[in-house]
Amino acid sequence: MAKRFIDFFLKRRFQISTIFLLIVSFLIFSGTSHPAIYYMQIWFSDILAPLKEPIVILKELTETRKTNEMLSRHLIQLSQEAARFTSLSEENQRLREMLDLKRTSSYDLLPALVLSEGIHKSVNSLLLNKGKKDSVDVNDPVLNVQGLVGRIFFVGESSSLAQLLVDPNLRVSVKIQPSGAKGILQWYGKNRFLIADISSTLEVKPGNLVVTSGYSDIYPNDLPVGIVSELTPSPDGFTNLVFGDFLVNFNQIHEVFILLQ
Amino acid sequence: MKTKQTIKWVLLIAGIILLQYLFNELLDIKGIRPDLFLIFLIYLAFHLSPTQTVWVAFFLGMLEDLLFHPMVIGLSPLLKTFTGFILAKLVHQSYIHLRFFSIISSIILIFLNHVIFNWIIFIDMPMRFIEILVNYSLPEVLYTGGIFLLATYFISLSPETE
Repeated sequence: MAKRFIDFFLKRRFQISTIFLLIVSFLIFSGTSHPAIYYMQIWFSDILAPLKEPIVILKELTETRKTNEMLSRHLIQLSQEAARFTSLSEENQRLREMLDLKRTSSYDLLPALVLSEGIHKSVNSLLLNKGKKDSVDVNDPVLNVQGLVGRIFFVGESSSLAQLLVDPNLRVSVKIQPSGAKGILQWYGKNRFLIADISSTLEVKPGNLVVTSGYSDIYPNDLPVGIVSELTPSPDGFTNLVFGDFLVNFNQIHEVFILLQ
Repeated sequence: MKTKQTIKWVLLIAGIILLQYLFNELLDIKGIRPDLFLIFLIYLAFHLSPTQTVWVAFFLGMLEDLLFHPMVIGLSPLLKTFTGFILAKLVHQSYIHLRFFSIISSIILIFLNHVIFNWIIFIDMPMRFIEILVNYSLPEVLYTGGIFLLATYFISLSPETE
């Protein structure tokens, strides 16, 4: 009996192996979010990061000139705005003192290098070279010079995993300026987003800026997210679907800042 | 002799893992990266036994998810094991001994791999299948397929074992 069973197994080992491996893969896929999986990725990255960092830095260097030009342009714009904000800030300070309000807390920005971006464009996460030892924590927002990039999803000793705004599972509470219309933003493929259920009585126009609302515990308010590009009435007639483009170019993220909270 | 062969395969697998991990971003064209693991799996199917092929396919898929997208762990081994199974069946049942057919079958499998992967990722999103196909799957198929076609000049696609 046992011999027949072994013979059958050996004869059919290809089919049995395939069925077994497909079942195991399916079980792993359907019960994904176990922390052990993220620990394993961070563990791999801790081992391989010293090998990868020089390659990433080398690529960074080749793009430094382009980045430098872009930053110089930003700097000129910002220095003009800074002059305007200085006077506004002084006025704000004076008014706050009059009202006896505390200053809003400031955040530390920690620069981080992107070690890995994945193979498939549709699965969006970044492996960063900063971890617990740099005081990075889960849910710290991730930004770059263009705007909000995502949030820290998992933290290892010396590296961390960031979930991007262009992830099918990520939602962000946002408001549209200047109307102040609030909604939940979700990715809509490529570099686009969708905000559903925006009341049609609120004045929202293409070109309006979308920023974080500050209603969630993760993102502070007024972090720039995107620009409204199109409005479509919902089937109910009372609300609009707002489409827009992210400010961040998610195809070209090499360096980010982690906002330590 | 067998140990020498095993060492050769282990080193090759380690090499391809390092190549994909270390140079992934250097191979990037507008956010599209080639799936070197898949190209390697096709090569392996022609040189390993069917059972070895499905096990290596599963192992490569697991590594791919662990290293690059742990959020969907299990999806790559699922697709790669299935691809390994189809390839092994085709190779070892003499269906694709002609070079032309082996290349065509491989390209079809690359296409199916990327299409199914992206379709599953976007299954919950309000996106049309054609958008997913044009924006995500086809560019990936072209890149991975292109590298595979280039590689066919250097690697043998003739069955060796069983």
